[in-house]
Amino acid sequence: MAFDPADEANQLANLFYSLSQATDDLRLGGTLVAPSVDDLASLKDQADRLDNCGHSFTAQAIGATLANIQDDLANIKNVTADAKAQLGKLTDVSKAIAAATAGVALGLAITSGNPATILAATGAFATAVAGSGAGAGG
Amino acid sequence: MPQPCTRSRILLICVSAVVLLLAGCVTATAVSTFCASAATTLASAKPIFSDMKASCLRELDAREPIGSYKTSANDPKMAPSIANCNAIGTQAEGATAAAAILSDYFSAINALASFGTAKAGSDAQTLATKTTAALGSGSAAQTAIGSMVGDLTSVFTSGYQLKKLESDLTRVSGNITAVSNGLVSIIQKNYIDQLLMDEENKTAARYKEFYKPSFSPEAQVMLEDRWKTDAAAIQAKRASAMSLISALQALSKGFADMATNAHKLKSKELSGLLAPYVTQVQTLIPQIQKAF
Repeated sequence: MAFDPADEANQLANLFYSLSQATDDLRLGGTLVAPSVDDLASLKDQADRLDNCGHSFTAQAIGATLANIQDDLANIKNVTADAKAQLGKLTDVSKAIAAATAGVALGLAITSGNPATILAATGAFATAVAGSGAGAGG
Repeated sequence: MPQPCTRSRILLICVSAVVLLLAGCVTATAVSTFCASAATTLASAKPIFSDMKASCLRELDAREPIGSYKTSANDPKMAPSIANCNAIGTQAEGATAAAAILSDYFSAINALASFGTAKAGSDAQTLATKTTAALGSGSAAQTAIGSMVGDLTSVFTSGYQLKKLESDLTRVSGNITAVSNGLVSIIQKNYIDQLLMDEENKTAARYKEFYKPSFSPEAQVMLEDRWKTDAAAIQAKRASAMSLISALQALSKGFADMATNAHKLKSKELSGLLAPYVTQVQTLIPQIQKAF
């Protein structure tokens, strides 16, 4: 069976929390015979120290769990970047089709030889190219 | 008679394009709704991960006797214990970051799925109509050309959109499950079973320590009420965290189903497949947010 740092750290954390709780139960459960104030203070101190160990292993367990999924997170980040780029391409494609349509109209207008028609089609083409970002120079 | 024949062809192309477009829209809408719910759920996880350090610090405060009017932050002897809580906080920030990466993915897929292919088509149609008007074409020809350009743009962008969506879903299917499982493990094992349980135990111990049989009945009732209030606050946080676990598990399973079936199910079937997960997650979101 493979060694799992997160699992091991969790087991140790649980052990220390249980020991801390058992120490508190002993201190507060009324089963001790005539404990001194110092005895009770010492038990409380031990319970707190055990709890600190539990916290330390909890932090390590979270860290180990996150380490286990780093490769998964890296791949998700890559695909997220791709999805964002694809969205940009979709926008560009729709603009490019619009620009191409206007370009065809301009070509037809030039063929017609009518200055007014050429002027109107040129205006529409310029608008479409500006919208497509093709004229941005890079 | 070539004119009716051409009109029929135009009509056929347009109808086919619209049918394809509508089929794509339903699929994209189902994916978009699911991803939007996922992103909202993951945003709700942040306060829970932030409470991991806070729970640790509350437990330190619970070590101080009632009536001492001291907090752990003012006690130099507590510095090593506070350092442990800070370490938990640092790691919890890592969990928040992992949830944010997952949320960013779902938001990107949502944006891709909800890209307005219909609007792209409509914009292209408007432009085509304007440019054909410049040629002095008749209004019927302008409308026909505009309609064709608009529909073809929609179909093209819709087809690209669906193809990329399918690819983006299948490429991370296993990763989404692994990350969800990791976050569930942190919430269940580290937050609920360790930190909240420890806080609950230490809070109870604090009240037990303070209690003396010589207290008046009124004082005993007040003490018990105060303890119940503290215990209820911890229980509310536990319930919220358990709702987050249920939501993450539903998202993970729904996503796996969606990725597996995206290429073979018809759009309405995919929508039907995702609907129960979306309903479940949307019901859980207010429950996750309840204690925070």
